[in-house]
Amino acid sequence: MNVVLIEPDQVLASNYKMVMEWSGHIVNHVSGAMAAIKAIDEKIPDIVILELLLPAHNGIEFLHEFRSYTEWQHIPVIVLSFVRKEELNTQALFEHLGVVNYLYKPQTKLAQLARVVDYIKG
Amino acid sequence: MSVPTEDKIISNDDLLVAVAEHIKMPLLHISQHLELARSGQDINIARIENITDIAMNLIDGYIFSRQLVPGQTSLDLEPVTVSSVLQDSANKLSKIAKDYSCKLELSLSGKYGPVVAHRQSVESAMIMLGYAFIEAQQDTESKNRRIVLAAHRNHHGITTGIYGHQKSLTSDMLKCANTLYGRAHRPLLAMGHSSGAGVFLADKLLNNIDSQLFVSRHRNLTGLAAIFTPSPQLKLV
Repeated sequence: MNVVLIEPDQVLASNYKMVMEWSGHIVNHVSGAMAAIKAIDEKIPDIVILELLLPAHNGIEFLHEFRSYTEWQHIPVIVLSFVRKEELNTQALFEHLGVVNYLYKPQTKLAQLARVVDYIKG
Repeated sequence: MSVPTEDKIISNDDLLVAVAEHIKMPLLHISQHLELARSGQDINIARIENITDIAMNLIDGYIFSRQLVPGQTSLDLEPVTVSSVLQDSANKLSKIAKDYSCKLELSLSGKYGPVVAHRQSVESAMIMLGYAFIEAQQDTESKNRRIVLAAHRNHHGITTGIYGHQKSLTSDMLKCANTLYGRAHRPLLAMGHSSGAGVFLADKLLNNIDSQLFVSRHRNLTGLAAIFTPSPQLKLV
């Protein structure tokens, strides 16, 4: 599965990328929203993993722009963020912005992320 | 004995929240490295040590920032050589800068006499600012990541600070951020994705020595700096 990982922290990105590649996925890592749009435009992924706290833009802005492209409507998004779910209107995220899973980063082990991605692939 | 005002109490709680939010990142780095080690992977022990040092510096900085005793309006000041402080700060930041593929430079043009300050406060502030700027560079291509620890003399005194490619950093943004830390995830948008707790802690430490951070320019870079006044008496010694 082709994964676009939108993660601003280099060290975390390297770890997430590593575990997903062990599971056989191809991971394209980008650090911000604009780079993500460009990467997805170049090669449509099977899934997007998104941190909401991005430099310059926030992840919600990215999701709105991402969902404005009709050809990307079907791509599932996993939010993997330092923002707690309770701080947001998750109903809107799940129902209108195509988020299929919301993972709180400090409580998500690397192996758990890989299992979630595998489950969505399955 | 001066009684803390309600505003000050709120400010210290907000600072603690900002520091607590910021500590999550280094702890997560450590947790992930341990998870990888448990699954039999080789891990970069040096990287864990470097991030731990930075986290400890942040915690120590916060505790130190609360050290003013009731009735004390500033710490006892002493002669400090800013070039020596910046050199030591650069040495302590060099490993974490390398981990984040960020070039670290010193810019010290000219000779600077001693200034009246508090060495531990200034060094701690510069290290925390340095880490905040290193984190903030991560949305830049790795070949362009660069921070500069610089001092330059002007008619106010010796401006000492950390500079990077944060072009959108402005005085208004800094002023607004000072009302938002502890309440917003990213009070200082120009500092990338992090909470920027190091910036606010640095400011608190500098406040304790009657100084403060302001947005400054050094060559074509934007950064945060403080002004220290050379002491004419120290020059004579």
